[in-house]
Amino acid sequence: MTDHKAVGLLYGVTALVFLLVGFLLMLVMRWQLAWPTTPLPPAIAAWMGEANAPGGYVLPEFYNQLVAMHGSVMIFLAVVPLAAGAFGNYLVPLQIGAPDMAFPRLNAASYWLYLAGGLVMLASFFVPGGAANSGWTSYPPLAVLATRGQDFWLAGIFLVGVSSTLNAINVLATVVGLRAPGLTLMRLPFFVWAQTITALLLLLAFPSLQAAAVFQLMDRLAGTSFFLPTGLIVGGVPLEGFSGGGSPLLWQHLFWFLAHPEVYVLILPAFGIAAEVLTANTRRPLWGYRAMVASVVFMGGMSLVVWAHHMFLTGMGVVLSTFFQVTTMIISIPSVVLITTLILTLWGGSIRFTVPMLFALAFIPMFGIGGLTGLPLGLAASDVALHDTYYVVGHFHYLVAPGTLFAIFAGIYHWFPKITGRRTIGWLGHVHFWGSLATMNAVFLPMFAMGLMGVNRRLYDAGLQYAHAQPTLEWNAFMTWSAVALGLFQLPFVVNLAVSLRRGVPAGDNPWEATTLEWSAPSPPPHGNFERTPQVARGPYDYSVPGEARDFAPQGQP
Amino acid sequence: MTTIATHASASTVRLGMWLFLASEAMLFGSLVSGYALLRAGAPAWPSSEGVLNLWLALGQTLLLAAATLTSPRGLASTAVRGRLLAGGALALVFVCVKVVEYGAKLDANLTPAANLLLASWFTLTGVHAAHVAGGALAAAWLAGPGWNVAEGRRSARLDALGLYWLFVDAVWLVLLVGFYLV
Repeated sequence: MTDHKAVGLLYGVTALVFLLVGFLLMLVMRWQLAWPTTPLPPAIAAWMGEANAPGGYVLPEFYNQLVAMHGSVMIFLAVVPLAAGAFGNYLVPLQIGAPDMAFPRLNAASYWLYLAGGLVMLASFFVPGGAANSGWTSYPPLAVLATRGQDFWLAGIFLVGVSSTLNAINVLATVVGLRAPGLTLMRLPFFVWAQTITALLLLLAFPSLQAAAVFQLMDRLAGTSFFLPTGLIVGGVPLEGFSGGGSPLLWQHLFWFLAHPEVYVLILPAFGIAAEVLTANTRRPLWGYRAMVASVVFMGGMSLVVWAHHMFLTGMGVVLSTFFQVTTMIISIPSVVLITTLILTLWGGSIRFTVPMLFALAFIPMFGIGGLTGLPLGLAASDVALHDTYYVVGHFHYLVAPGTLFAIFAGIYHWFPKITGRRTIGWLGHVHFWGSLATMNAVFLPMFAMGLMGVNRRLYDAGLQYAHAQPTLEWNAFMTWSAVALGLFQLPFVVNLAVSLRRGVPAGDNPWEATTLEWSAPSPPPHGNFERTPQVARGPYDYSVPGEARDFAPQGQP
Repeated sequence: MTTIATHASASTVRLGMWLFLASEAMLFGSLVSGYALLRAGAPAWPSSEGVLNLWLALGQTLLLAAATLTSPRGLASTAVRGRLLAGGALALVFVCVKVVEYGAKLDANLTPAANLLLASWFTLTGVHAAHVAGGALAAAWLAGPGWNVAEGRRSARLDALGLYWLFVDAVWLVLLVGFYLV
């Protein structure tokens, strides 16, 4: 199983399962937030176990595990593996006219390491003290003193990091070395550019978290004090047996040096998918292709120097926070360029409102909401008030859930005919889209208001004991029901894929009349992808070229 | 399933190693900067006198240099497989010396938990030694199961291993300066 398409599909299916796991963890959290004084329904309580939810009441310690694992599973095991692992592996070789990745065996190893890392992380639910419970950010000293589950989290992260590195090396070497003749850099589909920069970020940023994980494992297992300061007092008692002298902030720097670029790892492939889907469905070239490529390269570089905007409240001083708020404001410029070019691509197009197109269209304003609400967080003065409130939770969920995930759904519907040779069922796709759009907004939009009213994001009872949180308490039931509905609206998606796989209408090689190279390969592409190596004579988006008989000219057409 | 002629060209293999080393540079860069930041921020840093042995470290440097010099530089070298194995063996000797040194330190109650100097020293040299062991394994694999490939590919693999050894040496020099000389 070293074929890039098999590896990509394994990544995709596994990541979708992890997505479901992360979603179910969230539903238990949402129950607790909506009805903190009501026990869980008996069937769910039995699943959680007496130790975690005695009598159905979720313990605060267990809630912390749910928070930490929801975040970790969603980011490291679901969305990034979908965006980079699944789409990158399946599509990059096809879009550049290559028979496979440069290093097929490393590619397969990358998948198995990812699976192992994920299973190690999830296995931590079954060790004494339960899973990691210090948030997906694992800040010390808390994480150093946490229960055994944290060791599993660190080991899992380390494996996922090695997996990412192998995948990134592969994507980069493939794009550099295996492009079809005539496929110059400025003829690459934007999707390939986005995946290339994503790979570069993973390659350069992940080692920083791995180094941090090594330090934290040493602190936990060998008794070192990399992250434990001198004179630490825990629960009113001075901590014994540690040399001290360490710096908790060192972790934050190393962590965010990865975790901020990780945000771009989440979003760049989404832009890549959106660009492909939008052009094929507007029958127009990508507006400002060169500006988009420049933006994505610039964004990748800048994303490595904005990390400390997550740390404005650490007292880092005016000079440093000024530096990081300036870089943060600068990085919003290429984001706006990308959004603007996508919108301009729509202008004057003859739009086909297919299911992937609906998801791609919705991605634009949803990402817009997520991006614009990030600006007040990037400015230290307003961040002081908003930090650690539900506003932040709303902000990054808009980027990742209706943002990246919508692009991923668009990509799944768009390339399903290529992967399986069959079309999906349109009306089921519409139900999935409209239902998800409505319910996602119903879940996340109230969070902005909650945050602006000052509700802290980490309260396991949603702020029951705080006067300022009282008006927001009753919103939680609505948000939880919306989350349940969001889950139900994924059923048409699953049914659609399952039924279409066997009984879908045969799609042919190029059902969307699209231009990039993967559409000139058979559907599904055989081992080796192309019957003969494509010769590329034109750019990636030759739609509606004046004077041509058809409204599209495939890249492989002379 | 048939294998397709997708084998990366020699230049792609070299590129792959460069990319891997870029990632490795970030790993050691993060580890070393962690050490540097902790040390710079400490009100008093523990003395390495009587704790770290410079002469032993210099001996280890010679071992590592010998391993690198013994390893074949490309296919043009004589007795390529023998030199691969000899280089790998010297690297393994380095690892064994390190393990004995760790044991002696622990016996003398100089544990990673004692202070941040020892914590950093154990962690950083440990990660480095793991890389030396990895190189020795790669050399053995190249001389054994990985030998029977097209000549161009074998040559690229040897080049890649050579690059890797140079990187591991460079990291060692940084550690040598950072722990023993500064």
